[in-house]
Amino acid sequence: MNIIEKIHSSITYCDGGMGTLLQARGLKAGEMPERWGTEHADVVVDLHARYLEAGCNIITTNSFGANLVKYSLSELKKIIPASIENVRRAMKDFSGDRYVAFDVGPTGRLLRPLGELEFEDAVHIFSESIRIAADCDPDLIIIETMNDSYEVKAAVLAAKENSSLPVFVTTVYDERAKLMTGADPAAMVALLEGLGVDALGMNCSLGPDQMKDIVPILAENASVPVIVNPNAGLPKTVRGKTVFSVGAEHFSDVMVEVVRAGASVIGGCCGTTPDYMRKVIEKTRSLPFAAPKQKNITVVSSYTHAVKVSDSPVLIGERINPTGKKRFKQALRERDIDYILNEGVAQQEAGAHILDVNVGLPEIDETEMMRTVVTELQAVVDLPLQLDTVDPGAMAGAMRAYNGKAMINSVNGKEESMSRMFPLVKKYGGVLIALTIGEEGIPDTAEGRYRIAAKIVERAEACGIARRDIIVDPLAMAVSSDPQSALVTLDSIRLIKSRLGVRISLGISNISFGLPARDLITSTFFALALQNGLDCAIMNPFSAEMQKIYHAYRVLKGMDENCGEYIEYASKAVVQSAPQPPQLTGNERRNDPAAEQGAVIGGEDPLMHAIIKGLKEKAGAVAASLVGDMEPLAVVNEKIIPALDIVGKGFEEKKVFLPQLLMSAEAAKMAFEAVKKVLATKGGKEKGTIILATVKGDIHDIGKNIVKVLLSNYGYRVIDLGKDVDPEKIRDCALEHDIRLVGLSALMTTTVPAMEQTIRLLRESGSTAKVAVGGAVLTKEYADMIHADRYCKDAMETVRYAEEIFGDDRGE
Amino acid sequence: MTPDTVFQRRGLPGEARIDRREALRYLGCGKRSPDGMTGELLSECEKEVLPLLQPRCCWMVKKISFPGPFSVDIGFGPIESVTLSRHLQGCHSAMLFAATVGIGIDRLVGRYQRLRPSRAAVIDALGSSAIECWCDDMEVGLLGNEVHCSRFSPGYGDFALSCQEPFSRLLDMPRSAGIFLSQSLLMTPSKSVTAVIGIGAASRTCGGKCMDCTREHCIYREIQL
Repeated sequence: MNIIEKIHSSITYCDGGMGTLLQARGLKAGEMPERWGTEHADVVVDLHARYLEAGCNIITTNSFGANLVKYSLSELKKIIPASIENVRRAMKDFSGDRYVAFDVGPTGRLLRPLGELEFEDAVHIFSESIRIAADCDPDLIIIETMNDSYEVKAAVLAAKENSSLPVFVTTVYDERAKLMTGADPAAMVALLEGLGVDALGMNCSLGPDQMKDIVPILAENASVPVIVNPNAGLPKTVRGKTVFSVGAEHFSDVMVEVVRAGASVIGGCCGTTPDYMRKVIEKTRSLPFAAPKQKNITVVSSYTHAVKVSDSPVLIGERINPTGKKRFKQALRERDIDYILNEGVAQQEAGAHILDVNVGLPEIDETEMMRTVVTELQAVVDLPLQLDTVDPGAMAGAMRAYNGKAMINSVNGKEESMSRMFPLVKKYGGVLIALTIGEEGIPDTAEGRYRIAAKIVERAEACGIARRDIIVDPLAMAVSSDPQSALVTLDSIRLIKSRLGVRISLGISNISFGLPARDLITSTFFALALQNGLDCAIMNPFSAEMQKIYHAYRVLKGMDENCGEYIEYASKAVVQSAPQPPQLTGNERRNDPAAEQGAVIGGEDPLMHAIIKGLKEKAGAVAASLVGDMEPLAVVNEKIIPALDIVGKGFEEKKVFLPQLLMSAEAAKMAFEAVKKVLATKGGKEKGTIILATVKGDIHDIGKNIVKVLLSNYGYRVIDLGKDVDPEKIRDCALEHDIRLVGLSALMTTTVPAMEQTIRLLRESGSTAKVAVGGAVLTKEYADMIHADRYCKDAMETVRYAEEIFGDDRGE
Repeated sequence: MTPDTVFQRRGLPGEARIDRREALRYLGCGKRSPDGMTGELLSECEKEVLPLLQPRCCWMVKKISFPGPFSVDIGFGPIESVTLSRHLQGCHSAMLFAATVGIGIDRLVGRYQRLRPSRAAVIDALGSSAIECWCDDMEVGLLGNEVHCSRFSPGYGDFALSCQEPFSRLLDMPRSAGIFLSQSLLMTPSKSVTAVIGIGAASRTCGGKCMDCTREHCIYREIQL
């Protein structure tokens, strides 16, 4: 019986802890345990044998840390084959269903954005180990003790790309049932099943009592067997002896409950021994085996949570899309990623459940931009994303880089589209939006659209993509050009849903194209579509009309318990629609920093007021109304900058604190954004371009980001190269854009040499850029020593220095 | 006793705390009271930060030896460091200690720093205060009755930052506390601390916080003076 047949026919037993047993045999703390496989092979073989003797089926190799981060390739080529051979040696004396599991632990380094390891580098690290292991023919690969969903994805991809072995994955949950990097169990199931693993579950960190509560969540979501390998609690000292807090008796008692809760592959982790496993096997052997059932759940996930497409409507925000948006196109051309991120955050705040991401523009490299935006968005919003592109390269790149199971927009009924998209979904996982467009275009009857949907579903299933991972979009066409179009769409929803049993989505806004007061038509159509069975709508979450329908529909359909969400929504909506007098509230008056410190408050000017007070929304609104009457640049030079100067001066005089300075900066940014919208149409000139970077080796960038906000406020274009930046990259960028000012930041003494090297490289390249440096450890003396042009002790000083350098250009 | 046991502890719900005064100091507000706007922002951020804190720590106790006049061995070979050997003078053992308040702060700072830097700055300061409080509380909890020195971390004085690596290996920090080193030896979560605590003798401290270092413009030193 192979391992897949085994786990689908009976309870299967993994082994227990290895590290603690090796320590008892003399492994020192800090010593590399994997080396024992070659240096003390007999000890390792003996430990494996003891687990086999206890009755374990799956024996994991002693290769937890056998990867390129910890070993050279040549050493891996010895350690890994030895680790597999040692299990085989132990198995010689045992019969029955026994399997060699090649053990893959985490790299020990964290991936971006939290750490510094690139995703593709992680894939490479895992790939090297798995290639070596695959040559030795183990029965399966077990990826375990994973703290980070993104690293798990890298490891599974490496396993799938370099072997055809079954893959089991266990991750580490904390007492809040989340991975260290945030994913909950349902999100992990979505991600891992999307990637096609054969069994999944959890190990390490928690004891069996705590894991017991997580098992049902895994079991009710997973269609593959659930693995549970707990620790024996935590080590403690009792009368001078180290023991684990959960003994074998209690451990095995709880494991009975773990099996009853839905786990069918069980074992132990830190602190457990062959004795623990013997007792577990004794007590669970005769329990009934429940084979995992296929769950008919349509689900996508982010790096934190899953979104299920079920009865309650799912709102997919459509705003990250350049179609018909001048300002968005400008942001894409200028690589103004912050603008795009802002659109994402704002949609989440407006109640979107999923964000559509479309960054296609003929003049940009869409593959690169898509990957960048997907990666960066995932650092600021935790919603699942809907990847939306017609470029196959951009889609493949984005699906690979995405940390979770994405929604994929889209496939259609044309051969070319299906043969391109299905392999991608099979490999990376995802829920496909299937448009009812065939070789001949869009049928104008519901029956015709159904036939295309049926063909897509059938073809997808033949490629191994489950029906639950297809959502059909029967297309909403403009009712202004065909009065029957809405009716055909509504008929299609009912027909396709009832006959195919799939979920339905629509790009809803299209229905009102070409009509005035579009929101009215769109939202009414939304209500009709929901009543006919619509599950997801790609829509504008800022539309009040759409939100009203959404909230009211949920109440009327009994989806909003005690009408709680509706009441909360209604109380806010009423507040929003009530006209607000422009004067300050009592709260704002009390919080007026300039008034408190006796500084001048820009007279009665409302824009300056708003900036000084750090009132973001107000600053944006006032600026937007001003640019109708005033020259946009005059708004910047006569209002925004003088207001910032007042706050900046207060900061320099230590009358204003850093948070206040930043709040004003944020308000100014909103005002500036309103000006930019007009400049995007009229065309405008920036004061100068400045590079900012945190130098190589340093991953702290909060200071640099503060400088960036202020410089942008003052009208400079900032090329932000990020943190941990290679000196060469800074040099090349300075030369390419003919830069006159480079700002470098470093937090630690150990990274100051990297700063020095960057400056040297810049000078040698012939760049005439001045270099300003700052950061916690720097002083004027340090700055002189490394030949910087200026030490700036804070953000305001950097602004002053920029004004000095670009000052001559003022008023041009 | 199993040699070299790494002990670990996770904070209980509500055990993590924040010292607002300390956070304000990190924000450059010194001894001054915050204005209403800053105070309000601080309260808002505090509400957001507290539920995200997930304190953990791990430790191991090792015998100390002094192989040379300015050299000390705390379990992973001689460390050449004048400041560390001076700090540990008279101690018989050392606790190797690593602690963190978790990655929630990093996520939050990452989320805000590009779009709302004022919040990012405040959350960063609150996180710094939280990890200091957690370390202080653990130090009392673990060594309350013993005469011991204050914490001394790799990177202080001439105690080389490169000692982070053996430190992490010995304590198995990724597994025991969820702390990861970058190639440049910085820690993620960023609100983490590694430290040596000498046992058997007390050290001179300024402001109850740090040691007799060479830094002249330290805020604690200024407070004491």
